[in-house]
Amino acid sequence: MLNLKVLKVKGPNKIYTDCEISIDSFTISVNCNKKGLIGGNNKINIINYTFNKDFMPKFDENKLVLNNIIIYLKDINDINLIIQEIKNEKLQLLKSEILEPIRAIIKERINGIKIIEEYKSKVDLSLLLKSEDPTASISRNIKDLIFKIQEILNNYSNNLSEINKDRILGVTYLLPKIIEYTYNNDTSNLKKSKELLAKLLGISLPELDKILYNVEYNVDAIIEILLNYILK
Amino acid sequence: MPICKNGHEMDLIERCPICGQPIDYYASLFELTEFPKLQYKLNDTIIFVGIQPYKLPNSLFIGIDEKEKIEKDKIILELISGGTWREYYDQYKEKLGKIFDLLGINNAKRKIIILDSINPLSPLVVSLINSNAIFIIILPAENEPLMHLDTAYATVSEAMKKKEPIIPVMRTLIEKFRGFYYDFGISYGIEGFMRMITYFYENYDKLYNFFKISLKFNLKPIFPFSYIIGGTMLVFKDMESVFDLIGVQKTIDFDISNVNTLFLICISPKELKEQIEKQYKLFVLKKFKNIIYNDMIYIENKTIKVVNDIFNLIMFYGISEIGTLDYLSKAHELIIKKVVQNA
Repeated sequence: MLNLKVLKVKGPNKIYTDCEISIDSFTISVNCNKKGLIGGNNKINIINYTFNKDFMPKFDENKLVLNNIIIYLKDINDINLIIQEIKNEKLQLLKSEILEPIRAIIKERINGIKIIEEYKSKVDLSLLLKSEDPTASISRNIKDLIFKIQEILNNYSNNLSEINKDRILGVTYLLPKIIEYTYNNDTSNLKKSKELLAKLLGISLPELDKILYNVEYNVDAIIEILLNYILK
Repeated sequence: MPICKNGHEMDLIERCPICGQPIDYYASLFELTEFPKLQYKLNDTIIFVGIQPYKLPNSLFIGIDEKEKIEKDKIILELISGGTWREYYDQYKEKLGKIFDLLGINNAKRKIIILDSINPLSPLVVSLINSNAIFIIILPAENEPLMHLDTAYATVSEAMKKKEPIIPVMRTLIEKFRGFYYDFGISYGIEGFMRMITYFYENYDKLYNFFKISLKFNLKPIFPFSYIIGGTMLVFKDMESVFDLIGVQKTIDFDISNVNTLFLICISPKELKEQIEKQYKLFVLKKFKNIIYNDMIYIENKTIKVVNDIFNLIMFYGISEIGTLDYLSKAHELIIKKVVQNA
């Protein structure tokens, strides 16, 4: 969230002073404490301007132009603060959108592995012979989720660098692998996949290990932490 | 494993060792849609088709009854009224194939398939086995019904296609089996015979190696054997007479002049080891003129309880010609003629 004092705000009919703008959750709120200079009254004016992921703010020198509202900034350097905050808000939205499919892929994958183990321990094969491959529907679900992730990343392509895209996909691929290798006690591949993930995120192995410590128990939290690393 | 930007499958490392490209994480994600095949992991398997299974690890019984029952160690398929081996083959090929896949039968490194050749499921079971298998086929007598002989023909024919070793055994010999096992006592019939199979199981690798060497010399994939189980020097005059008589109980009849390879499994107390080895060499020199290869394995019997010179000898023969099984093909031709006449 960003709060910024501005010089003045020019609305369609009035000009306001002693104003502040705040940027939060895809909304730019304009709050002015003094009455409008032209035909104004004593009311506090709040204007909420909602933007979306495709929004690119328009600046004219030190002016931020939102449709018929012109915001006069106190300092030209505030432009950078506003651009950065809008970018952060978009990435926060991306995070909330992409968290669910990543989480779902990991859960589906773990579920599939567990099903295989359960079926292996079944003594009566009759049931198994009658049923469809128990992992077929899981495979289809995972495929759909992969397409979903790709679609979300494409939607945010303006705000996301190729490195960040790769990091998100890398976490989606490597995290279920790490869980599987832990489960199967495959120490060699576990080590390799952890090293790869640490390098991909630009963090040290002990730092990653700290995050993954409870990997089997708190997958949601781990994804969130990793996404924070990626989208910081 | 992940794939690189150029589509090469690679290890969990940063760059592809073939082209130097990094991992393509999007393409690699589709690996998560693939799950390990639902399969049991078996190192060894012993399948009994239509024969009461002997207690051996990882054994599987396959048979026919009025009601289907499918378990890890027992597969009972439903009887087809009036069904010949062909109907069983057509009706159960897919189902039994799927069961074999689930059980991982063909992934087992060592397979011994013991078949009653007249069981209508035998040709199908043989057809489903891929490799690394020894088939022990129990054959009917010549005077049994034509339909049985035709099924036995189909079983042997399927096994011949596999180019894997076949050990043929006449059922009449099994029925007459009498043996003395030092760790068990006197044993009869099928139960006694199956005890002998444990030696094959325990020495599978060396035995299989012998069969494969023999097959390199263009011999038939059919390896009969003869045996003395529970022999003792209280009965035999000397070791020479032991080897003179070892060929008496052959699993099928064959002409000794067609023998090209030999393999002896010997179980005895160590006091007899030297005598047996020496006599085996003499026996090979004296009786077989066309020997290309011969070998033996010696297993010391340390747990002797009753008498201290009891021994078991099992001799396998690799042969270049075999006419003994012609009665099966004749029966098959007769069945074909009858089917054609009725058509």
